[in-house]
Amino acid sequence: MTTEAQTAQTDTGSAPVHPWVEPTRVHRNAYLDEQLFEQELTRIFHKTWVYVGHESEVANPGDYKTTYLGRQPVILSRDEDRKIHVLMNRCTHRAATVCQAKQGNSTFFRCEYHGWMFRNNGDLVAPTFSSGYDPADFDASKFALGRAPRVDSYRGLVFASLAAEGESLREHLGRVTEFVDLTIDLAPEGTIRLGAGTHRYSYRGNWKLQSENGVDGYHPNFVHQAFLETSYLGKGLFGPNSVARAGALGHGHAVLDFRTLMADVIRPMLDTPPGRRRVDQLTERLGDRERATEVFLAGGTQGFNILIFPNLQIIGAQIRVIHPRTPTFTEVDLYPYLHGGATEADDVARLRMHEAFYGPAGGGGPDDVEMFDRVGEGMAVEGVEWLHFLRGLRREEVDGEARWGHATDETPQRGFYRQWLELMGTRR
Amino acid sequence: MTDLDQSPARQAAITRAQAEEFLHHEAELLDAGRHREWLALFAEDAIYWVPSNEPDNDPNQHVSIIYDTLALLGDRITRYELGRVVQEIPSRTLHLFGNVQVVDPAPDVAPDLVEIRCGLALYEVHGQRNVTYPAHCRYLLRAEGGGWRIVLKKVAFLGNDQYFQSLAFVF
Ligand code: FES
Ligand SMILES: [Fe+2]
Repeated sequence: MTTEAQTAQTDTGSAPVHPWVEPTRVHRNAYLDEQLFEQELTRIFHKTWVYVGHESEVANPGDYKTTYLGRQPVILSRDEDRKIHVLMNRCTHRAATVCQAKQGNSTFFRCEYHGWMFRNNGDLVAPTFSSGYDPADFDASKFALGRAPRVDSYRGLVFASLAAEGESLREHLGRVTEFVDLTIDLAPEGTIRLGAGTHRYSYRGNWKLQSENGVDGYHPNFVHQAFLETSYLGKGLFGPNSVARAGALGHGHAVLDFRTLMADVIRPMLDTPPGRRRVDQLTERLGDRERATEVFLAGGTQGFNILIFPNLQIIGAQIRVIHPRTPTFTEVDLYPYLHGGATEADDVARLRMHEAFYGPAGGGGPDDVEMFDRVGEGMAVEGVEWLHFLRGLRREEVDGEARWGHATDETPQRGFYRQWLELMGTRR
Repeated sequence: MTDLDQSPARQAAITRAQAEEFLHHEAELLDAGRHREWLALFAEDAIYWVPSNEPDNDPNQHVSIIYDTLALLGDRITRYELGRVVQEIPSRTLHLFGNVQVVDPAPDVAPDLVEIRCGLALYEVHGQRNVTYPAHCRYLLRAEGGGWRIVLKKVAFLGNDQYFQSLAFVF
């Protein structure tokens, strides 16, 4: 690890390379190889900033939820002092998980194997039958639950990094915060909340297929043809003449940005009393009418899809978390998010809108999953072994760290793999 | 005085044999892919509900796997007819309804409705997928035009807190 970090620091001039990931194409082995998958866990998921949950899921002291950081089971908890912890869900005695529920409220986590009790800040209370432990051998303070060394949040989204040092969360997020802000600022109280349940689905394919797909504007007119034909959106949105854009924002983050089209749908509302009221409210909170109008017309993630590298997406009315399980098996959690301060009618409308397209029986999501299965099947072919991300290469517009292309261009995916190479490639 | 005297008079009644006959007919339509005829079993004010995460929750506060009005259910069928990728090769299904009971409807159920509870063993074969989905079902039916119409169909999968591969077929 140290050697790698040193190499990266001393040789930043040259671009990282990898035999299976090139600037415009990815070899099937990057989706299939066991060893590479292990390296992705170590160098990406167990190192960079990874989303753990939303503060609203642990709103009260004692609240917790369980999830995964890469492959490692973790607990997101809030202690009695309201401090948030990301604890390893692993008893420090002999490895059993200490928390089984998906979510709940508890002061202690008790391992059922030999009864050790941990506080919700991770501290071990005392080993059971403590007379068998001599203080010369056993110091309870050294047996606290493991924890993510770095935990930070942005607008309520909690991230953790298992690397003790590295760039800050704000540095990691970079320009994607612009889109997170547009999303959350739209809510009447400028906050979002989870807690409306989840959709869960899995597929027999690599995790990167879902990361690529969530910001892919090339596929909707084909994969989602039937949905678009029964929707007001129509096929212009992701057609070849669309004015929508696809952007790589740096650090692997990306956006599929169709705000200009959504604004046309929303703009007439500006002249209605409810529309004006909303913009007035937004102006009051954001302190600037121009910004308020921009936020209103963007329509939050009705106007764009966000990918936050490596495995978080904010799309439609949902926060989507992609969990790599094996090279060819992935689990996906969709959390519909609600707007803080919204009316119950707004909440219901958001849930119904989400269900229309997403989830295991949705009108669109399962069609993407079907394609992942087909990609998996096709990858068995030998002799034709590369997946190509070439579209729009020569019409990319460079904008600082970001690059922009047409909605149907593979600019987001190229950006995703640039960051992948940063973490996985070698420099020579 | 019994409780029955205080509640509005039940105008409708269904026998278990009639309920079973209705469910067997629904199963036949679904398994034969006769989706338009299946759709015609639903009343104008129908809700088709498949809860997520729990067997029961408030669909206005909690996401559902399906929460369709008749119009949304119609759109759903239309999309399959237009040729959804996911059903390019249609799923083959078998609906086995069992443990059928006609129960006393809850007090908030309109007096012209009857209530059925039953188990469902739903089998789906699609590509390499060959899956069984067990579920508890609840139906509210209304007598309309000489037959029974569905006012509520609720399918609570035992595994609705687990990861599904796909439920993108008509069931
Ligand atoms: S493994 Fe947890 S108490 Fe022994
Ligand atoms: Fe899609």
